[in-house]
Amino acid sequence: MSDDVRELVDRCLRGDQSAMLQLVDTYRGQVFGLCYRMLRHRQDAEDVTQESFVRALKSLHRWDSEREFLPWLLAIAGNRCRTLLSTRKRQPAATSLVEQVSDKTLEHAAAKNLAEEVELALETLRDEYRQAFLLFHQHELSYQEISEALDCPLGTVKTWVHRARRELIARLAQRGVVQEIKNEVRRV
Amino acid sequence: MKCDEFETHLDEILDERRRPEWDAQLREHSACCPRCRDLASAYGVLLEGFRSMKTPECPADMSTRVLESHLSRPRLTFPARAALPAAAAAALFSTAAAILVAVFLTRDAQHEQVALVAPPVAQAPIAQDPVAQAKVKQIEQIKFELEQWKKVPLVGAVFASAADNDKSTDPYEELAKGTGRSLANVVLRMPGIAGPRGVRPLQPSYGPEGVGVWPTQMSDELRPVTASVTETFDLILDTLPITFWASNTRDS
Repeated sequence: MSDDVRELVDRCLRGDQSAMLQLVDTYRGQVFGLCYRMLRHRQDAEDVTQESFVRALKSLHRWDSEREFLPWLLAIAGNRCRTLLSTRKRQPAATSLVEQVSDKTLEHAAAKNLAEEVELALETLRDEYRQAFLLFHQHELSYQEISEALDCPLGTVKTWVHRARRELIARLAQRGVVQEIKNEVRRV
Repeated sequence: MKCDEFETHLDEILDERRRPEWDAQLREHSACCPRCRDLASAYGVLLEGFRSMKTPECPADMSTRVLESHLSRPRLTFPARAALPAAAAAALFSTAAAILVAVFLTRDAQHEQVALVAPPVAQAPIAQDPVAQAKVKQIEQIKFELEQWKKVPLVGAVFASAADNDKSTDPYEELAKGTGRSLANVVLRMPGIAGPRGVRPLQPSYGPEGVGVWPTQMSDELRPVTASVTETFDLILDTLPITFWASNTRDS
């Protein structure tokens, strides 16, 4: 890890507000990306991103400077997302309903491109699988880093990522997406 | 390579972030197995689709929002220390009171049993100033008293001194037999008896002024309290095994 991040964190710990702004600006894209993929709701993703950064700043002294900063930060964001998702499951109220209607609309309108299909398929995954898959493929964290960030065994993380891939493929195959695009990809 | 090994190997390739189509083993097997070829293609499609997914931009004002939220949050404050429960406070108070009384009682007993040695002869004053002389005398007096205090033995010393040579002429033992009290009780109550138990005879000693010097006595206001506590202490001495301990010490 670069010394720049350590220095930035040190400045934040000393109460330097410009350093705090810089820290958020550096990582906001990655944190928001994870939150958006996890929640599939822009406003919720923004709220959770903000909450995650606030929590991170509050507990910055707990970060082990011997380890990478991004996995630690993404772990906080992932946990916040999962908390919100579990709240949604417990309260199938207005927000959730709107999202479901939106999803159905998307489904029945037959997603026009592969990205949308994958996005829809991602939503069907278990939260743990989705988080592990996103951290590995979207943020390109190593299994070791994901294991430390999620505080679970490395083997478990691998299993989650492998299962996530298989379930996504099964979902794409179920919708006939894989068969259609398979030839194009092969052509390429 | 068998079909069941194909997917495992494919997972390993993807775990290492390598492209499946570049792996010779996978390429070789998929060339002769349509099912595995489709599987490899499906993985390729999935990752291709995933990479092409678009994520909306994070709002540019996120950093200022975070900072505002961070600064507006109340700092963690520790809750005020809870008041002691009444029972705990009462226990604490009674313990403190018991220690205080015990200290006074001990000092009182010590005063009675301490024999003070004669003070050193005061030297003739050199200074002619009466105020300075008085001050010097006062200092000498304090020094003398401090020296005497250093000689005050602990109450336990009474028991320690019980191991003595001449047991036949022990007035404490005779008194204990005569009064029906325990030996320890008698020793504690009458420390001034001269004899083999090692307590020195009570004598006033003399300070630089030629006046009898005694260690500070307990105030009269406390005497009723100490008297009742002494009675309680006697009762405890008569019932607790401490009397056996004292007797054993004496006999050994």
